[in-house]
Amino acid sequence: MNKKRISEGYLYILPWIIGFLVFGAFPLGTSLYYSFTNFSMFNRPKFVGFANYVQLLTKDREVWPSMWVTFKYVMMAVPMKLISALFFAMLLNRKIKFINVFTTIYYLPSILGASVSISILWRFMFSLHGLVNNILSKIHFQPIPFLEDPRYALFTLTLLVVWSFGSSMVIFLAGLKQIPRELYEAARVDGSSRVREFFSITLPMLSPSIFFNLIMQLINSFQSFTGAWVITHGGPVKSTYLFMMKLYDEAFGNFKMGYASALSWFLFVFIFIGTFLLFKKSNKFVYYQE
Amino acid sequence: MKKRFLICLMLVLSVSFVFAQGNTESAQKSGDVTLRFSWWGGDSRHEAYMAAANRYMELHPNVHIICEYSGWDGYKEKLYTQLAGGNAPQLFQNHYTWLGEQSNWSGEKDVVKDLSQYKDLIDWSIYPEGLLESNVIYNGKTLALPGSLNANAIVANKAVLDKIGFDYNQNWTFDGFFKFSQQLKAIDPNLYFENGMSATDIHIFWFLAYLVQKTGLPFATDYVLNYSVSDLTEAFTFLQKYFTAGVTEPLGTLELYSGNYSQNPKWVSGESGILFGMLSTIDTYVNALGDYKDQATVIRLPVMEGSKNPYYQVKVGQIFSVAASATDKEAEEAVKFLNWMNTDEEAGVLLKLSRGIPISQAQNDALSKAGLMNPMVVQAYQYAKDAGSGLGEGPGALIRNNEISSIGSDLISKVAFNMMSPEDAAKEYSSLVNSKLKDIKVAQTK
Repeated sequence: MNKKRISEGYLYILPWIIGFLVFGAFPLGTSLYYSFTNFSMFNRPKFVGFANYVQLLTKDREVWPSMWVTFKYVMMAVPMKLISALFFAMLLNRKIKFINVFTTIYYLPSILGASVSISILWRFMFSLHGLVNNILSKIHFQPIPFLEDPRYALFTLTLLVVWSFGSSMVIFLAGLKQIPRELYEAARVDGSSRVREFFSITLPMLSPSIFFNLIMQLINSFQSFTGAWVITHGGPVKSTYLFMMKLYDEAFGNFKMGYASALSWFLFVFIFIGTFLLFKKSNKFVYYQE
Repeated sequence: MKKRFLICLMLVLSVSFVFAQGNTESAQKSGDVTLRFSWWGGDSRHEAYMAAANRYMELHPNVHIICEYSGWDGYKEKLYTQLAGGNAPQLFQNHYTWLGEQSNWSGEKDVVKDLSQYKDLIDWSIYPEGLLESNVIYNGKTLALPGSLNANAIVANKAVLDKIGFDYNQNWTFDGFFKFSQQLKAIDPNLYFENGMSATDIHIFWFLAYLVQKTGLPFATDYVLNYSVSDLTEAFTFLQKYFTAGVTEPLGTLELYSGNYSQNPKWVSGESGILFGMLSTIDTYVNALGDYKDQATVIRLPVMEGSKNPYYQVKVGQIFSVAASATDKEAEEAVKFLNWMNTDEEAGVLLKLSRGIPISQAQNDALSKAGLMNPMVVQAYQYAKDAGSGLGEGPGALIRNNEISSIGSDLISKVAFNMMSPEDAAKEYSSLVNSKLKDIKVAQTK
């Protein structure tokens, strides 16, 4: 390739490179530097070595409880979201009329997502005086404190994430369409049931899509913030105090930017190790077609 | 051809982007000043401040005021980020409890202007002696100017409390919470005596009021908590009983309306008796009552028998600061506008009582003359003064420190949900708060 073609190529990707350097690499590098300082927005950062990391790992009484809350949240939200996405993808993977309309309708919540407005709507729906409890009372059920009781609040928040399963569903749908029909036909000739087909053909053939969705949803769920912040403010009794809320409180509540940077790098390393281990073990449960 | 057209189009767009801003600015006359003006509050305050800003622009056509207003939630976070970035509104509402930290930061980087440098533009005669010194002057610098006085107040819904024959002028104690609640519940179990607050606000108000009234001591002296574990146990026990007896809805529900207490359906639908707040929130609370608006009144603040200090304090109401990033011209115009709001009779009428009781006597007289002196605000102000001059949140309002506030609200929540005994909560509170106070001392006195 001649030099002119190479420089043209670089010219084409220059806007992205500039964007990445300014809005990606520079903030990343700066936050890593700040994580070793006591920077607090209004004071000049002073180098404090690993003090922030020691503080968060050994002294901060909120770090590990918030990590535990986040872990529980991820363990509920990710499987529920993937199962819902797969269920609806399989429903939509049939030859039915107006399939595109249905796909669009099921994708809509993903566009709205866990935005602030939807979170506020969630609060009105699930509060003790909300729509869901009103409906329950009409059919003679006792009201359920979905958001007010520490036992239910985190689960209610996960529903907000599960609801927006559209993007995972579209990936599953694409994966389902890739599975050769002959496999199902051969299985039926052998007299297999639908359930057996699902576990022996659909799931293994779909495992690369499942793995991709799993990784993406794990990364996203560990960084969930809006729902918990808008709906419950982390309560009741810190039962929905996700790690990102802790990070936000340190950065914009206590203005400890250096410490908040350390928290964000801690979360990054945690997610990185988790993702790395999943990749290492993926050959055990992901089947790639030759 | 197509390629050339695209290149020309990109050039035209780039040029227009670059110069668009310049054109907007050059559209203003050379003597014009644009001020960004921000505050927090509810609808009635937003309307009042916008009316004042519009009138000021009519009187001073060279000044353009852009109003940036919001609710209380998130105001501080947004403001501080703007201050750190040097793009805060030139004139913004501040809080008297934030000035200490802003003064500390100013050691390295000024956050707000020292308003004493504009002494000729300010009418200092409206301020009673000592008011500025004890509220807005730090290290000899006037960091903000108040325009009003504010005090704690309780709005009551007579449609609820008439059911138990409540005497609206009576003095009542903390035991009253249980007595009146029990009487209401005997009539209808769905009724609550108090509409309630979040754990963070209960910590600053009822919890601290209880301790101050019991001990007569401020929250901390020389960065050491003034309350013994036994005092704290008593205060936590009071709160445990407060929730168990159903004085308010369960804490989990109250948290959902944090900062917007009057939006709680129990208040709106006339199922709770009283709502605690400030003089400046009376309008919002009453307006939220909808069908029960005409039934609103104010009652006295609770003071325990044998109280050593009433806790309640008439404080400066809304205070405004000028951002350090404002240019000299902008700062001068911002101070002139602020002084106009704080002293001018017409401004006083436009602002009504949305910011509390005006400090300026002329503005008070103008409000009375215009029939805008809401008798409920006047009555609540009188009740606050009757309660006596208390210690309030104490010097530096350390209880409002974000981390101390978090400790308090966590432990109150645990007690409210019966996840911790008052005794254990008291021990943990004492240990965690004292440790945090030590950290704050190091940070503030270095």
